[in-house]
Amino acid sequence: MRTSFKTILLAATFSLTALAPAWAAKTLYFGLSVEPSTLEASVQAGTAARTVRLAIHRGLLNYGVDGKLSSELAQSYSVSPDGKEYTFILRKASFHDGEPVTAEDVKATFAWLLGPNSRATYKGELGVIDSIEVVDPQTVRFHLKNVFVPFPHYLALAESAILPKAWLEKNGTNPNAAPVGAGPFQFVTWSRGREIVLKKFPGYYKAGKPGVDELHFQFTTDDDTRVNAIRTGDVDIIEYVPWKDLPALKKDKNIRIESTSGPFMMLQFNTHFEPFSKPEVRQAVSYAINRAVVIDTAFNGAGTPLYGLPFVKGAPGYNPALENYFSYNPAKAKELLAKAGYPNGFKARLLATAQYGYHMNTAIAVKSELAKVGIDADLDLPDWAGRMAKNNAGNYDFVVAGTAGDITDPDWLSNFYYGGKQLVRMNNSPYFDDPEINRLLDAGRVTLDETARAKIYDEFAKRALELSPFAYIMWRDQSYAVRSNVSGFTNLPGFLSFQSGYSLENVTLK
Amino acid sequence: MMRRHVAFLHRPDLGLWIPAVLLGVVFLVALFGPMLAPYNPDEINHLAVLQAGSLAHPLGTDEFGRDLLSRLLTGIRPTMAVAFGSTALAAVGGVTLGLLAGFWGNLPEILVMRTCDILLSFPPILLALLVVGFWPSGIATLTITIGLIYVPHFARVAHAATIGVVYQEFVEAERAMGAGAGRLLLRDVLPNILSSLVVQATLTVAAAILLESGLSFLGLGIKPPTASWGQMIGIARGYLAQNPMYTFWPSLCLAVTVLAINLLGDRLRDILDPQTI
Repeated sequence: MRTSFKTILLAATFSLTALAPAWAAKTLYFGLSVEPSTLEASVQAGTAARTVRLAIHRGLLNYGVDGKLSSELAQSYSVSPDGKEYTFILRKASFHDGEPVTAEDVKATFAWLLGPNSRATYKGELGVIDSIEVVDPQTVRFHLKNVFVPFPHYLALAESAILPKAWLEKNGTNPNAAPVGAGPFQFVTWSRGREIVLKKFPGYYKAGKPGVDELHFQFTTDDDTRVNAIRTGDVDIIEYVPWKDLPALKKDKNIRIESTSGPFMMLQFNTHFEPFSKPEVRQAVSYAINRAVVIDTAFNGAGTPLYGLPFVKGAPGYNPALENYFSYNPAKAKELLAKAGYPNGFKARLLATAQYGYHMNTAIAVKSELAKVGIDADLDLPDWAGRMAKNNAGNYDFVVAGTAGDITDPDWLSNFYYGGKQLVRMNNSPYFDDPEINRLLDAGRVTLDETARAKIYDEFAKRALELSPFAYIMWRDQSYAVRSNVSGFTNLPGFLSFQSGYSLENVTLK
Repeated sequence: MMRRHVAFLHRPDLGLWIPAVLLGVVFLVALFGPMLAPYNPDEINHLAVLQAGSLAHPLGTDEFGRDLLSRLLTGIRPTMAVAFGSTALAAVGGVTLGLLAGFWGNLPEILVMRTCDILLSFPPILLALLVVGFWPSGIATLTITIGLIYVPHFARVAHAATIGVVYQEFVEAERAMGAGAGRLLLRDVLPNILSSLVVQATLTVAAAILLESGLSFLGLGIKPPTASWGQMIGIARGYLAQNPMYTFWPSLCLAVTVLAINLLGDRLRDILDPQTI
């Protein structure tokens, strides 16, 4: 009798221990606004893909929750006096397959990223790397072709994650291979059309992190589905809170809104289209649009008008005198149009997409504003994939774009304004190529002295406004909604909002 | 039989008149709606978005502060233009094909009718998505697409009716007297199958309205800012929590119109069916 009682007790204890992890397993559900098209480590395929990759991977550096560069796989780095050599000391970290992160892996990653078959988004910027030297297993040195001040910022991008050399040799050409990295979570499955599942990586180099055991990224593409999912608690965090739902969600006691005002809406002009080849016409568009109309209709009031350049206060080149270079002034717009030879306006194709309400509504509001000065905008509203194809082919007269700078260094401007060889890019104004702008951007990249650098960008700002290859409309609020039992999630400041996935390592559940 | 016929003549037929009057109103609105609209339907007022009904805006406003009543009154036009345009196209195309197939028989019949069978085996919305995906959206594309989709429906009805008529004695007689194909088809066959075509047309108009609405709802139909009822419903759905009446009004208009057309079609079928008279 005694023994059997003991056995039962023992069995009960065992079963409890066996069950305990199941009870304690903390799972975070994250509602993405779209299913990622790819998880390729070096390709910028949108915020949803970035968020997942930032949970799986880490780079030498990353952008931390304070928006500053944080040392990740590199514990420290130093720059040679001539600015052309960067030496990184690696910390003791390991990949999800258990292998240590070494200088060889760093070298192999960038060799792959810059290789002939690479589809890396930032191949151009990182092309400044001349050679990589493995000093010892924990030390790696980059030799640059020329001085490139923003270099650490490009290393901090989610697309500069360090991958295992062995994995690259095997999977380097396979975009669908299961990802392996050195980040807080390791890849488990991707059920197409439903969710991506990650689990905690116990060997992560930050003690005590991550704070949850499983991470489920669910694809809640429809805005209303996503909002309902967070309201009912089906998911714990959602991205891209639709602007129209912000007031209701703010009232919900179980939900907290994390907002940043970093991304902005703008118009890109095709400078091969005749009226838009003239700076006066592009300026006229900037004068013609009452920003409040766009903000109140397409963004439910959640945004800040942008009548100058999208420079954050205090950033190099930020000049309070230029902040309101433009104003809402239809009379001035008409005057400029007349001066350019279009007193009766003209007809132009405005590309946007019917897939995202805020893009379409921005286009409708812009159309109505431009009609008042005689510009007849004919809306072209394909689905998002169709819009991207036209965007990347320069197949538009002007286009509604919603974006942010890639890095916090002012060199983000190069991607938008630089002319050079490739004159049609996602975020430039097609065929815009101004030697003076190019010269200033080049100078900004190689000037180490901060005061001199700020002066260069100040000059740049004046020239950029004068030529106005973009019409900036507004800073938009970019919000995540988080259930109150979740703590540690941070919407990174400003431009970095799109890299908030970094903070998933800090998330804990109550 | 005779008694029913007399009753039809003397007592107002509500089943016929109610939908007919409703449709008459819809037509008048389609013709004169834009003149009745209190506001420019595309005029944006960013200070009055998503308002509930008021004296200034009897049915409220949408997310751009545009007057919903004005948009409903003008949105009927593209909806009706597409519905009736595509029905006309389908009727002309389908009837011609069906008549010829039924009259000639043999190879033309096999080609036309089997192609129709293949097209009929696809759900209309799927075919429409396929076509609209390749051409820029707009009223013309929609009309042609929806028209083509319903060609087989008319072809079948016309074909079936034609074979029913073509072997009757009076047609044989005319043929023996040397009447040509054109005369036979237009003077004898067509008038005899007209009743079934009228019924088919009312059904097609209703189906075309729903298809147009469906495509506009999916963002592939009428291009904004031009309003159409289906497109309004599609967009309003996102604002259900902010202004529920925004979804309600266009839905109500659409439902009533489609119901009226269907009721009229049903009643016409009963009346025109020779066996009931």
